[in-house]
Amino acid sequence: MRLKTVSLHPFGRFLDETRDLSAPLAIIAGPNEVGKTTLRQAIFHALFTPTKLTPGKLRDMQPWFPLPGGDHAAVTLTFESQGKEWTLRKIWGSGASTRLSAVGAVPLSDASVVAGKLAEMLGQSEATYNYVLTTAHTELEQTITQLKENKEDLRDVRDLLRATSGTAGDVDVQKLLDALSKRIEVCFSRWDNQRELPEKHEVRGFDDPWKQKVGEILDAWYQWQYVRIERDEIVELERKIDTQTAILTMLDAKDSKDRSLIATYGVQRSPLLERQALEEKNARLDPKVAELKRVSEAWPGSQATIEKWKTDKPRLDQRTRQLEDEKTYAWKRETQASLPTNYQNLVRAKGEYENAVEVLGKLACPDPAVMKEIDNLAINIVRWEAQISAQSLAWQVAVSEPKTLSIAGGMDPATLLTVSSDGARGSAAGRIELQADGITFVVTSGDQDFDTLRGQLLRGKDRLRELLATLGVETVDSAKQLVNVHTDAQSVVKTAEAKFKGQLGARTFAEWEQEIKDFHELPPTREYAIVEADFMVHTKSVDGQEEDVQNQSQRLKEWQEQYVSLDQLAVTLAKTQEDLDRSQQKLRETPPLPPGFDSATQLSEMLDDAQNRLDANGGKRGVAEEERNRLQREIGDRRSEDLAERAEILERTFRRSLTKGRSLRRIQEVLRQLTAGSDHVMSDFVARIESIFSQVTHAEAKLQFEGSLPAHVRRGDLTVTPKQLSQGASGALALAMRLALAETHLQETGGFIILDDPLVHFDSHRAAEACAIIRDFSQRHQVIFLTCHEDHAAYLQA
Amino acid sequence: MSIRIVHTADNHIGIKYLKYPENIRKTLVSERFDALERLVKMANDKLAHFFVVAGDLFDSTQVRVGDIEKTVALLKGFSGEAVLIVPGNHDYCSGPDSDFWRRFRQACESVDNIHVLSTSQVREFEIDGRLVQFFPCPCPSKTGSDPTTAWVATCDQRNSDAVKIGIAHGNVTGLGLDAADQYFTMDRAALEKSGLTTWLLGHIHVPFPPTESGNQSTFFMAGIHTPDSVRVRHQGSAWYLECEPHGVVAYQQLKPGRIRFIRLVLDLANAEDIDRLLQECRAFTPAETVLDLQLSGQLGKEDQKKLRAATNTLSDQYLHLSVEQDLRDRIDAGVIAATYRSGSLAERLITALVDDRDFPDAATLAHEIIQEVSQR
Repeated sequence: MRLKTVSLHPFGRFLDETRDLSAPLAIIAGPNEVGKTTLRQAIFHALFTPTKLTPGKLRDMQPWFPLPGGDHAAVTLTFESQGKEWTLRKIWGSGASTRLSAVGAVPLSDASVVAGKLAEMLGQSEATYNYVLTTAHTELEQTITQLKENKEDLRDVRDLLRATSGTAGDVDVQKLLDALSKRIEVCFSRWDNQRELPEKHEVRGFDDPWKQKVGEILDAWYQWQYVRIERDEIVELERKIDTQTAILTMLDAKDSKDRSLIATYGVQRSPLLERQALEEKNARLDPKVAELKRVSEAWPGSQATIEKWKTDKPRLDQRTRQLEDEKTYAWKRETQASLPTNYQNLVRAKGEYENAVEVLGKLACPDPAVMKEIDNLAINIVRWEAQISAQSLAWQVAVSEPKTLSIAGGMDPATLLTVSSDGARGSAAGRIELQADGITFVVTSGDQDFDTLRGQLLRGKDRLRELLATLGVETVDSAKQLVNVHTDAQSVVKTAEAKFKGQLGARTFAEWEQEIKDFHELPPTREYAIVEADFMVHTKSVDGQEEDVQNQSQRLKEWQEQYVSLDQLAVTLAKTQEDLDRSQQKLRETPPLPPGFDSATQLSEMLDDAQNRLDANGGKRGVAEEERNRLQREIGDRRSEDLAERAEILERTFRRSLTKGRSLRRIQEVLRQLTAGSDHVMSDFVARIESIFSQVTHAEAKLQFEGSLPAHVRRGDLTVTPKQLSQGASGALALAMRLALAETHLQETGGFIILDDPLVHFDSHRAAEACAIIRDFSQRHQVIFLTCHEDHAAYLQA
Repeated sequence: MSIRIVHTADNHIGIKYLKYPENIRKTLVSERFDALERLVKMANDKLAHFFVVAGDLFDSTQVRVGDIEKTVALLKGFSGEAVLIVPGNHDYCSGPDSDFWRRFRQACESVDNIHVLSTSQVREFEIDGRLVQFFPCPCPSKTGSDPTTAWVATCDQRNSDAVKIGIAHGNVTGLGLDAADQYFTMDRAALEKSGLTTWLLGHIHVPFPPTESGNQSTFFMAGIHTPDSVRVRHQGSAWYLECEPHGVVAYQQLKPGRIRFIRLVLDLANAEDIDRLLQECRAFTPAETVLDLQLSGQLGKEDQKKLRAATNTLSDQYLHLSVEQDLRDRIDAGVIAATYRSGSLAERLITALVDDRDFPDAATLAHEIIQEVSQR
């Protein structure tokens, strides 16, 4: 599109103003407030603002209604496009209308059709014209900021470059990739494509299904699976119903037997139980009648036995006593058979004893104290004599002439001794007394008083003789003999006494004499063994009879207690017999016990058990029926067949979603293949910006881009961010960006750019360079340059 | 004179057709009765001695009493010797009797020729001096793994001079389409060895033998008497049989059904395909046809309009129409050339995808996305 003219009639301050824009570089110069910005706005609104506006949108347009009281604004734009000259007329406000016409073409007045046609001829979006191809007054330095802020509405320059490297006006690859990614995400979100299952399905299962970010595939899969699960649940419910049905069938089968039993034998229960009672009664009465008969028969016999016993008892008791006496005598006789011999021996011992006592009485018996003194004296005398003998003294007398000496040695009395000149010698015990010539010479043993000993000895001997004399003996031995004889006699007495006492035993002699007397007075008896045997036979017979009588008495007592009397018993027997006869008759009239049963009780218990089972099964049946009904209610109108059909449809939906997702991935894959290696176009773009920037600033500069925008500017060794550039350099970079972007956008579609005093912050030198570049740009694309700076206009026109 | 039998099964009286609109539902429910009535009339026209239902006369044991009474009223119309009904797995009978069949018997109280054969016991009839023995094998439950026919082989009541006919319901190996194997599957060889010359069967909704008439077959699957869904492709089936002690001497298929459920699965590529679709539809009587279209493919804008018009017409004409569509805008070289500049990325992308048979939708999808992105 190439603009030719613009007419404002009215628009803003212009009531009817037409400007020629047909030159490749249309310069509209003039001082401030002449309406340059109004002109730019008129062109923009003519191209992009619809005439049918909401009240709110209309308010935005009202500033362009002429004052005072203007109710509309109108712009007419002429331009060339597609080989034709078009006229576009738009009126906003009162009489709003849109019209697009060209020679040889049907005029268009439908606003949306006109908008579509304009978009087709412009080849660029409104956003592109707004933020890239039009530079408003003082906006140049804001270029990078604006591009960032309106990124969403603008085509990414990288994709534009990729597209334009092929064909201009192509699809925005980045946006296409983004759209594909979004769609793929919408399709595959939460879907594990490799396993063809939801992500983490093994953990979450159907109990915890994904709820957030569920993609189309998963959603379709869930819907399919839920119906499948529901179908499986229906089938499972049907199986459960079958289980309950089987239980009911089983209960029916069980109940059938029990019902049959009750139906068959239930009515017989009472008669059979009656029969059993009669049988039991008869079984009880039968022995009772027998017993009564037996008692009736035994009662008189028992009475007779008891009476006879009363008669026989005294006689039998007497006989018992006789036999007991005989047995006692016989026992005594036999047990005392040695009594006479013993008695004779006793008498003999008694005599011997009495004789010994008499002998002893005749013997003197030395006083033991005397005998003791004698013994002691005898011993002492011997000891004393030994002591004296032990003090032997040897003496020797020498005389010059024979001489008679008195000499007393030891116990010997003094004797005269004539001693020759040869002397004399001798020895004596303990003491030697020599007397001669008036001289008495006494020698005694040194350690004991010999005289004391001698005195004791002499006194002892005297006492001994005295004591012996009292006994009538002369020697100690004789005295001892006396003692021995007496002792022997005493021993004989003791022996005889012992023998006698032994014969006496525990009895006295008088008792012996009485006993032997009694023995000899015992009556004659049979031998003890014969008597004992006779006694045993007798007592046994008596005991037997007594026991029998006791039994009979006890029995009779019991009978009397039970039956009172024999007559009363007869009455009881008759009644019982009659009862039994009646019962037996009744028994014959009741039905017999059916085969297979041991008793009516057993049958009755079986009937009770059957009824109990029926009752219990009734409960179970109720539970099973209730459960079956519940299950059937749970199934409701749902049919597994219908759900299977529904599942088939949902499976197809799922497969389609999967196919769609895979197709999207295929598109993505092919797209990437097609755009691979197209990144070089960005470097050309950057080089173009660097070239313009370097030319304007007269300094070589290199740019580093992040994404589609410059991030750093390197000039020599200095690297700065665009924000760190001076205002002039920043404007130069912005102009370079604008022109490079415009070239890229307009490369194929054609079109124009509008620059509203872009160089206000450029020094004259840079402004001149910039204008040269713009002038060059206008060789390829239409430029509408609005300025209040005459020098800028001059540079452009140079 | 042969014993004449009309054999039906799987009548499924009581299906509610809940997925259909109310007015269609009524028609479909009514058809099940109407087709049964037509079949009874056919049986009477054939002077059949027996009208045998080999299971699933009813769709469930929860069928309303009104439907039971209506069914009994129709069966009362049979003028032959007896109507013999064997419970199938849908209308199973647990034990000799059940609440459901008790209700049915109550509805039959005034009729003496309708018999529910709910126990595995021989039922004998004498027709003109000829003994006919039926060996019913009722289903005791909805599902079951063991065949119900085992008792026949050990039955000692088979009379060599009698016409001996088994009646059973369930899957039969080699005959059935039911692969679930949970519906009393019978073994074909075992049935042949059972000592009976004829088996009247039900369950799989598909008739057997495959020929419409003949004079020799041991097994007969009645097929559903009137279709109940698109799975039934025939127009409703039952058998008329002439039986002798040595087996069937003649059989003929009866077609009591009227309403058809037709599913057409078509891949549409152009207007001719749409015409073909309409042509195929015209083979079926609109007022008696429930149409289920599964359409896929790619159509141009004009063709899509034509298809919309066609389906609208079908919807107006046919008893019911349901359409499951998987259709996309047709993308071909002409569309690509008209839409995209030659050499453009869009043109190259779609061209690369348009012939990709592994991803037939990819080109259309790509076109849609490009259009969407371009209009932003």
